Amino acid sequence: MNILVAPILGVLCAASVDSGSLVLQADVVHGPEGPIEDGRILIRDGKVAAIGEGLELPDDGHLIELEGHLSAGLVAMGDQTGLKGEELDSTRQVMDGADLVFGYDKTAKEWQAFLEAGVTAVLLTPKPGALVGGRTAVIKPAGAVVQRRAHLHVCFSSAAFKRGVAPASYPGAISILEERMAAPVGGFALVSQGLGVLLIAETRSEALRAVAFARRHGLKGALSGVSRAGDLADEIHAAGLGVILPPIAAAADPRVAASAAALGKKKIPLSFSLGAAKRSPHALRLSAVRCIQAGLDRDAAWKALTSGAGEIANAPVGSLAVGNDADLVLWSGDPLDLASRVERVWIEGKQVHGDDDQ
Amino acid sequence: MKISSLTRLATALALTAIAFGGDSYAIKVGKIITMAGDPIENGIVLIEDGRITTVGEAADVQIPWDAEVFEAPDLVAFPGQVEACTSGGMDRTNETIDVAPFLDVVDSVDPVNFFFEEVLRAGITTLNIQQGNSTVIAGRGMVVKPNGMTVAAMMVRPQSGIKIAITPKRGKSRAVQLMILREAFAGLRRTLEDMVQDSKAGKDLARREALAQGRDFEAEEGKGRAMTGNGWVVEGLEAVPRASIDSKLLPLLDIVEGRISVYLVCSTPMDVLHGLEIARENGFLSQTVLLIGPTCWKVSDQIKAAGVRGVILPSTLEHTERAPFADEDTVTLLPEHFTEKEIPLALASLNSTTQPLWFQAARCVALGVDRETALAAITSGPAKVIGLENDVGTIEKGKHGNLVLFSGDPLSLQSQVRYVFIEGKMVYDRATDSRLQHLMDGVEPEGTAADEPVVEDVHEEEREDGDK
Amino acid sequence: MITPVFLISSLLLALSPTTVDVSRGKDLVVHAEYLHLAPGELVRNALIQISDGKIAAVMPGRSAPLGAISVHSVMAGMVDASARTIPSNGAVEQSQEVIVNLSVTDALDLFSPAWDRLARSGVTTVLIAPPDYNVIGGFTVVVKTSGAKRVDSRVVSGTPILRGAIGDLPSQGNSPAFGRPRDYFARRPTTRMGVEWEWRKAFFDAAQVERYPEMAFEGADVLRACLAGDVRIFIQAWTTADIRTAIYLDEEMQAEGYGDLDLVIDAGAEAWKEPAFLVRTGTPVVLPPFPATGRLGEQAFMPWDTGRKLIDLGVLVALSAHGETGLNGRLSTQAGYAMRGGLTFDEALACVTTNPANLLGVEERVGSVKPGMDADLVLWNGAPFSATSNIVGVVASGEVVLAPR
Repeated sequence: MNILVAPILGVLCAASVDSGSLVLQADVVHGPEGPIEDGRILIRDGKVAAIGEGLELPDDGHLIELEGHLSAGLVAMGDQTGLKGEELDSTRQVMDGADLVFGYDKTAKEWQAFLEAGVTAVLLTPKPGALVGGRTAVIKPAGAVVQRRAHLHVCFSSAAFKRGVAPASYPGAISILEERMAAPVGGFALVSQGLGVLLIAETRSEALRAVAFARRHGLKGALSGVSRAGDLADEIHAAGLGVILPPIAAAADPRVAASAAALGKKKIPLSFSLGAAKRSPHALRLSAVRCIQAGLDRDAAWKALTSGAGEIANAPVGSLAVGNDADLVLWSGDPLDLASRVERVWIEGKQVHGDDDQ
Repeated sequence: MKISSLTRLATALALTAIAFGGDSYAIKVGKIITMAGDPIENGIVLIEDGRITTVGEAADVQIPWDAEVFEAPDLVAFPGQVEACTSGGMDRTNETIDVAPFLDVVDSVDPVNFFFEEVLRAGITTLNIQQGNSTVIAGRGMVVKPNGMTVAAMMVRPQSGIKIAITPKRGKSRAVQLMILREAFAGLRRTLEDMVQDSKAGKDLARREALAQGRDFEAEEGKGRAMTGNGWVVEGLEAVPRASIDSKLLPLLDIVEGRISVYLVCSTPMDVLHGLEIARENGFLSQTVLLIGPTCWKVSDQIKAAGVRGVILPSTLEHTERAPFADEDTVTLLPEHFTEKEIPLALASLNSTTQPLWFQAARCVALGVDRETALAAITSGPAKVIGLENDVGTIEKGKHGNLVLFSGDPLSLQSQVRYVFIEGKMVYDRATDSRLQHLMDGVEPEGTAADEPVVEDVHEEEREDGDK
Repeated sequence: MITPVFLISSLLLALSPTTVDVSRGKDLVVHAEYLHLAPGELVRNALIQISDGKIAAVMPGRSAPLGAISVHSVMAGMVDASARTIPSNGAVEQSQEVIVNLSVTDALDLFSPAWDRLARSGVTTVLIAPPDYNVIGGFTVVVKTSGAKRVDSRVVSGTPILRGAIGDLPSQGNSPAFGRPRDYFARRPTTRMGVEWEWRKAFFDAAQVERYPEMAFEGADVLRACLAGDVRIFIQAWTTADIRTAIYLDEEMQAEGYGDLDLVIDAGAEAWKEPAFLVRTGTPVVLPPFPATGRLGEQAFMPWDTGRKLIDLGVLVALSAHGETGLNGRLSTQAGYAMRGGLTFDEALACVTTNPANLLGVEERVGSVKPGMDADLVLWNGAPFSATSNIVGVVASGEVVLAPR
């Protein structure tokens, strides 16, 4: 999926040109290999067909020259928007067979705000509150389902303890999970066959237990919800897990952003969540900027908003690699400059937000 | 305890009560820590009519023939300790009125309250009782000794001070608290100014009424007096007879004119700064004692510069703080901090049974304060802070005969308060303190003991008796 | 009580290297005017050489070398057998009243600031037990209070200890199930009697497994190990009635031929009331913090001479601060209070070092200052436990966690 086709573009363009292909040109195009000055993207059948500099316009093509930066849409991790009333099932504590995607409400009015913020993919996660909250899914705001089963959601935080329902304790929770892993059925069987896990923790102690659990069973996936995961960078790195960072507000504890920078130094895959429904999707870029201020590498921060998040979400989103859906955002300037606006948004090559001049 | 044969003889002779009446005492101990000079080994303290007349080495002191002699060669005499500000021993400590300086704790102190028994047990002989912290301007406090069946008998000094709380009680904001406080003083000033104006304009109703009735008003109510004070002064107040001023306002005027101490409750550094400012504006800074919270060390320089009479430290002697977003604690040792700033200090008891004043002083030494300073902070220090330095706080001539006899060093955890004397009279004897024996030694007070403890294996019997 | 100083000194000298190297990498040298090696073992002007977190050598009769930390008194890091530094939420599996196959280890939060405060109060080793909302709450864990924030590196392995409680607490929150039960709290025990019944039932059922293997249940093996004396049981029992219950339980198991429980009474405030129970079964007691008013948990009353009374009868006593680290409640202050209640210094020292270390089975690693043991030291500016002395420095596993000023 990630093969870069830029060097052989000329051949492609000359060979066959379908009707209705579109070429977008912008001052800067943020491609999978980095920014391209005056770059162009060829879109055919809603997918990225080619990307590069000086890409020729196919005969049937339609060129739009744009001012600003063109990039893949952002990916929001861990969100309950559009899961109204479906974000947590309180009837049982282990719901390894439940697919969140069945709760996805495409028509929710909140999705427009996501598009306007340049977010074109969302990882739907249950609200922490059950030991195993179900299987996460990746969707496009008000659009298609990209990945029906992204991870099994496993909660190591105290949110999993509800009065009067087992487990009531960390040791109890871990023993239940161990039992399920020992004789895996349902969602746990999928996990043992390679489905990723989304490990939810709040404190560093909970995170250590979650990471140890993943290492014991050789699980793939990501740790989510820990604001100071940077203190555990060695363990997370050794376990080969990614990290979904909680939203970092302007007033947040500076150690949270510093923690993200520490994870970045270890080259641990990062991404950002919105944390809770009703949080503005603009929080994603603010979080990334806070991390850059604390020392996170600029490229790593950008990756965390886009392709890195796509990798953690196990879905071909957040990247303009050839073959991926053409989910694009035109920014008035550098997307990591908070002053930059979202000018236009395309999903699968179709503009869904902004001035229309196609 | 040994009552010398001399005393028994004297008692036997049964001279009239007036001749000695138990009013002359000699206390002879192994060591006297006077807190006014070096300790005296094998010393004697002579007390007459409640006051110390002589302190010296046994060899140098002539015991009067009529003195009741108490001998304890193993014990250490120490000045009766002084609790500089407490709300113990009162019926209820707070009034619901915000500004109530016209109240007096004399009406609230309960002489049979267990509190007084407990402080005696700790060797405290002087207590400054002030109202609680939940009003803005509280009623007038008083200094008592923890011994006596009536408030009058306990009284050492009436109207010893007024508590003013800068820290609002729960549910009230500082803005409102300070508004009420400032308005109280502003109101006093306005009232006085109006009275001066009225008097000048001849609109003085009381005077006119007296004139109309043919009474001699000046003679009846006393003459006016010019106002004094370090803050603001209303000119021409001499024209207003003091008695015509509302008696509810007079205590406030006493504060502004510097006639009564103020105990300023400031639990945060910010409260200290507001408190000092209000005290300065209204001229009572030099008679102000600060009751501070653990964080107030942060404004110790301002406290020092303000020149208040003293500071009563919070009973938690160290302050542990973790700055926002920090991973380590910062610990400040309060006694050391304030001692280094040379601010007059008094300590406060944590509780009266096991962590009273002597324990707090020992803690100060542990935290780096020298022994003399720590001992002073529970005796002469608080005496000075409450303005009784001529009466209590040391064992020297002219002071009240208030002594504590410890079984050893007053700062040792293994020492016990064996006896307490107030004005020469023994008012506490550990041997008869059944409540302390219950706490320390598990001895049930007489008449309350539980059944004999079960020691046999009754269960064994049960089993044998059972159907097995 | 005091072992001749000469003897110890010469013995240690023989074992010690002849030169002192202060400058070596992570090594540390501490000098003490008075060094309490262990209760009753005092040496003067001693150098303690620390290497790799362990005590390498103790050399009495030396002056402080340049650059070494030098203080008035040094004693071993204290051990609290009932530290209770555990979050109340999520530390004990309340979904069953008797939990024997889980350990509180998985609930430790080493990132809590409480650990650092414990270490700076001179407590370097603690027993962490599940909170007593269950009748039996599971296995405890012994941990060092400082070091890397990773459970593996902090755990000290000692005697396996199971934790439970007799008294009010385990039955609180339960309610009899009338009609359809709302949740698992609709269950027994709802009274003290019920708590006692749960204990007996657990051990009785486990004992039956030997004869009737088909009666086996989860955790029966652990309970049988308790009956065999291989697992120690810490029972919280504040009042004399609850202590009596615990002892009867043990004696009943013996009488039935099921086994002999290795009991320790924790928070035994009223152990002084009927000490004969403890004496005849040789049961040690961990005392709760001394109360200003005498009243403690579950209305138990503990006078200040409790330690004195129990030690006179030969009961092994350990003191505890229940995790309190403030000046007036910390473990070193509890030792001072115990001395106010009549203990000698050495007895008080034993009650916060060697005695609790023995109860936890970690006496080979902590509790005294001997070569080869963990370099856990408490540094004082005066005589330890005196009200006029303070802990000015703490060394834990060779690391300075509180530096003398």
